[in-house]
Parts: sequence; C-alpha cells; structure tokens
Amino acid sequence: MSSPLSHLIRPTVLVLFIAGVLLLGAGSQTWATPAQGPFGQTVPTFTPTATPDTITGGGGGEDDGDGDGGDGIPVATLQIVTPVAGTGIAPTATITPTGTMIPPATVVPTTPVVEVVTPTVPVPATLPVTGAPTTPFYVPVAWIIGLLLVTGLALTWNARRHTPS
Amino acid sequence: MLLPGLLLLVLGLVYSRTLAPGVTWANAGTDSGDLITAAATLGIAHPTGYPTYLLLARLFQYLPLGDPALRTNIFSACMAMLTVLWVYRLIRRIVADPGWSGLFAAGVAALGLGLAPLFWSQAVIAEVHTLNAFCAAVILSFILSTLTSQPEIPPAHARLQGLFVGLALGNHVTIALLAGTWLFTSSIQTPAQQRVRYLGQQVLGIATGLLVYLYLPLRASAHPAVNWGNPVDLSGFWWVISGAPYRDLAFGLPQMFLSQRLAAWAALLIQQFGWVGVSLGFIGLLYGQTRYRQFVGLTAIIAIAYSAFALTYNTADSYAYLLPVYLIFTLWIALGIHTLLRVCPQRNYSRLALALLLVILPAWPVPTNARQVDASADRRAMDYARQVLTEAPDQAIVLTTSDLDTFPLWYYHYALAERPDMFVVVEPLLEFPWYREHLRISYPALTVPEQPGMGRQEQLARANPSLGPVCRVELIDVSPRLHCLLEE
Repeated sequence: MSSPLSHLIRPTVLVLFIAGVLLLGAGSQTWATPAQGPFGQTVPTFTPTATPDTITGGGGGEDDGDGDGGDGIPVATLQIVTPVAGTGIAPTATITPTGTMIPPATVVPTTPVVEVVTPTVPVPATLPVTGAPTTPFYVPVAWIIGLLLVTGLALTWNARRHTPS
Repeated sequence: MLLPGLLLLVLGLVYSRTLAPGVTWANAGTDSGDLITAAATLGIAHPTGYPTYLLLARLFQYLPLGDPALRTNIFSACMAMLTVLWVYRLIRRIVADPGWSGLFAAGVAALGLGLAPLFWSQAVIAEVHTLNAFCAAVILSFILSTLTSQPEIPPAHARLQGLFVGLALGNHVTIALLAGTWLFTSSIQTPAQQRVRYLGQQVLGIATGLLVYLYLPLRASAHPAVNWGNPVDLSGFWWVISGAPYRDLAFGLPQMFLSQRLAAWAALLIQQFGWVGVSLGFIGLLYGQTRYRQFVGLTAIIAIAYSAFALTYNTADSYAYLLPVYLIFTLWIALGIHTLLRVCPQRNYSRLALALLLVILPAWPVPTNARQVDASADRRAMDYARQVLTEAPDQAIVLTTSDLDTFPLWYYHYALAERPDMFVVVEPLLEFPWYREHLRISYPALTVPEQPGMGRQEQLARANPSLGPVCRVELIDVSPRLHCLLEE
C-alpha cells in the first residue's frame, strides 16, 4: 500500500522538470563553443607545423576573430596580402621554398601585391537560430502563473485518481 | 486521411515560402554547398561521406525545377514533411484513441514539430538532418513494434527493417544510437529459441543496407570533382567513414562550456515548443495515458543520450543533433495534450475551449520563428560566389580557407561548371596527400607543391608561373575580398 506522500512524487517531478527548464533557459542562450565561429568547421583547421595526422576539425583554441569563423587559420600566411598596390615584397626566409618542384627563390621575380577585387557585396548577419528571443517582462509572470496552474491541475488530478469511489 | 493531407498542405506552403533559393549560408547551412556539389557530381562529401543522402539528393536533382541547389533544398523539405507524417502515424499508434482527442493530439503535436524553429530551419536548406530525422522516426516505430509485437515475427520483416537501418546509417552515423536500441529491445523481446535467428536476420538486413557505403570507393575511383579522402583504398575509406578529421570533436567540449550549453539546451527547448509545449511534453512523459509506458520510458533514455552527444560535441552547430530529441518530445507533447483533454470535463464546451487554447498558445511564436528561419531571401552565398567568379582574373588560382568561402565556389565551379579556367584550391586541405593528388588529377595544368607549409600562396605562384595569379579569398566581417599575387 502506497503512502499519501508517494502520490506527490510525480507532480513534484513534473514541477521540477518544468521549473528546471524555465530557470535554465532564462540564463545563457548561447550554444557555447571554443572551437569555432558560427559558420561550421567542415574544412579542417591546422597549424603550419602540423602533420596531416594531427589535423582536426576543431582544435580548442579561441576564435581568432578574423571573421572567418575559424580558430586555426594561420595568420602567418596572410603576411603578404597587405593591399598596397605596386609595392614589391621580396621573398623572405619564411617563404623560401624547400620542395624539389619549386624553383629557387632567387629566380622568382619580386611579387607586388595587387588587390584585384573590391568588396561590393554586403553580407548581412547570419540569421539567428540558436537561443530564445529576448524575454519580455511578462513572460516570467506568465510562467509562474502557468506553473501554479499546472501544479494545481496535476495535484488535483492525482488526488482524484487515488480517491476511492 | 484528411488530417495528414492538411498537415502536408500547411507544411508544404510554409516550407516552400521559406525555402532557400539556392546554395545558402542561412540556418548554419554552410555545408549545403559541399553536399549539393557532391550530389550533383556524384562525388564524395565531407566525412562521413553520407552516401544515402547523396544518392537520394541526386534523384531530386533530376526535378525539372530551378537549379540543382534548389532541387536539393526541396529534397530537405520533402524529408521534413515525410518525418512529420511518420510522427503523426507514430502518435496515433501510441495514443491509440480513434476519437477526436487522439486525432487532435496527433495533428497538433506533429504540426508543432514541423513548425519548431530548428526542424523548420533544416527543412529549407540542403542538409542531412531532415533525412536523419525521418530515419529516426521510422526506427522509433520499429522499436515500438518490437516492444508490442507477438513472438512470431516474420524474418522478412526483420531483414527489411535491418535494410532500412543500414541505409539510415549511410546517411548519418548518429542514428547508430537508435539502431542499437532497436537491436537491444528486439533481442530482449524475442523468445530465447528464436533470438539468434531473428538477430541474424536483422544483422543481415543492416549489412545489406550498409553496402550503400560501396558508393564511396566506386565513385572515388572515377575521380569526381568533390572527392574527400579519395576513399579508393582501405585507409582513405576508413578516414571518410570514421569521420577522422572530426573525431576529436565528439565528446570534446571543454568542461567549462558545459553549463552554458546546458542553459542553451533549455532555452532551445523553450524556443522550439514554447513554455506551453514544454509543460505539455513533461505532462505527457509523466502522466501520458498509453499502453506503451515502456516505450515512453525508453524514449526518455534515448532523448538523454542524444542530448548528451549534442551538448558535448565541440562545434558551434551541434545543436542540430538535438532534432531526434525534439522528435521524441513531440510524442510526449501529444500524450500531454491527449491526457489533458481526457481529464478535462466534457460539459460547457470546456474541452473545446481547452483544445483551442492548446492550438493558439503554441501557434503564437510561429511568425517570429518564420522570420528567424526564413532562408528565401538569403542570397549571400550565391552573391559571394558570383562575385568571385566574375572578378577573378583569367586562370586565377583561388585559395579558400573555410566552409564559408569554399563550398559556394565549389557549387558554381564544379556543379555548374562555371569559370572552368579557374583553379579553386582549399588551403587547409593542402596538408592532406589525398587532396594534393586530387588537385593534380582535377587540374592537370596546376602544379601542386608536394610539401606545402608556410606561405602556400607564394609556393603556388612560384610553381605555376604560366597560370593566372594566386588569389586568396578573404571574408572579413561582411565583405568578400580577393587578394591576388601578380608577377611584375
């Protein structure tokens, strides 16, 4: 024979579930991740010294804030793209080729950098998917009223079920 | 038949109104360019390859409507509608009430799933998630069948179900959780003397379905334009199907981010169904009046497992793995609605009033959700790719670095064969021998340095003096830029 207290278990669990989701959901609404920005990481990231075996889809570093959504795109490779048209940049030691298929740096003419395409296409912010909309003040009030109603309903129903006819 | 037809009509209108017009970045859909291009060229998409998805998407790309990207988006919408229909059918079985209360609960809950923002967002872009949701719904119904069926189960059924599960694994490997649950429940439910035979039939079916992965080596050997991992040998094949480059991401979220994700999990749940839906779901879970309490309990365990995977998967878009959770929550909501309607007294139209309330309250956020997930105006990826293709110099070697700047270019360059004089090179992939080999085969005129390291742009320029300039694509904040190295 069950005690009267045992009748309260399910309503209590119900209230705890609902209140738990409500309270949790009222906090941070960001799908937090350290590995990348908002645009996915299907193309793996890498560090310049990494061997193919160490390449991963993430990496665990902070977003480098370069707008590409990646965390490991080597900034070093961007060193020569300073958009100053007509300025020659001589190859430096860091870009001296070592592969046998590549001609020695000395025979390569100085390579000035020319910015060919000027940005004209505006890219609006990504459509929001994650996180709930900003909560107006009346929502928590409605929640509390709703919780009370649900609790009352559940308790009443539970009591009815266990009342001998 | 009227209610399922109505569901199809409503969702068909809603999805077609908000469908992405082509390749898109909306709704975390940056992979759409990769998937569409791989399907259009019968190539190999990023690991784990998704052969089932690619073959079905390829079929849809024969539709005489729009371009291949739009047709693949339509495929997602169709899978979403099929999922909703299957969930409706599943609810009818669970609720087992032929009266209007059962119909109402199934209809409202299934529609709620179809209009839940995350589900909706994936229905309007080319992604694997709606097909995965459909597979999840079907396998859930298999599990329900095994829990309720009589001892005598025709072996042919087991084989067919296994075949479906194998094909589902060919779409997304996360379905393995449901597949395992199905095998486990059926082995428990089957009488001991039939267990081995029955399991054998199931495994045979799964193995047959998994043959879809043969698509990978078969197509890779033809050197398609998109050929991740070049899975012609065993190591390449394993690299693709095991998701090697992303393996560290599974359960890889640093602990410090977990509490934030847990909060976001709750916020997302509220965002999907509203507080009314969340309350109804938990009422259904705890009080749902059904003969299949065992099944409902099992779905709770499955939902927790999927939530744990999504929470700990270390990417910014892993919330998409919550779709099976929302599918299960929909079943609970239906049980909750049905339970409340049965408890509510019949006099004075109070049931009707309650039913109206249960429709109006969840419907309230639908316009807001529509604005959030509407991808119909998203032309960013298309405009970006068009601009690069228009303005890149002759025979330019275009270097890309991320999903965002790579996949839309792949679509126009490979699938639509635009600017065939151009060379698209994904810089991070140059680290992989298979990619360097793939570039040599795809672009015979291009010389790819064997050991790229620092300064790839310069290396490519030096190795290819007779070709056009090497241009790096940059997407800084809101604007795409091309920076090209030109020889003097």
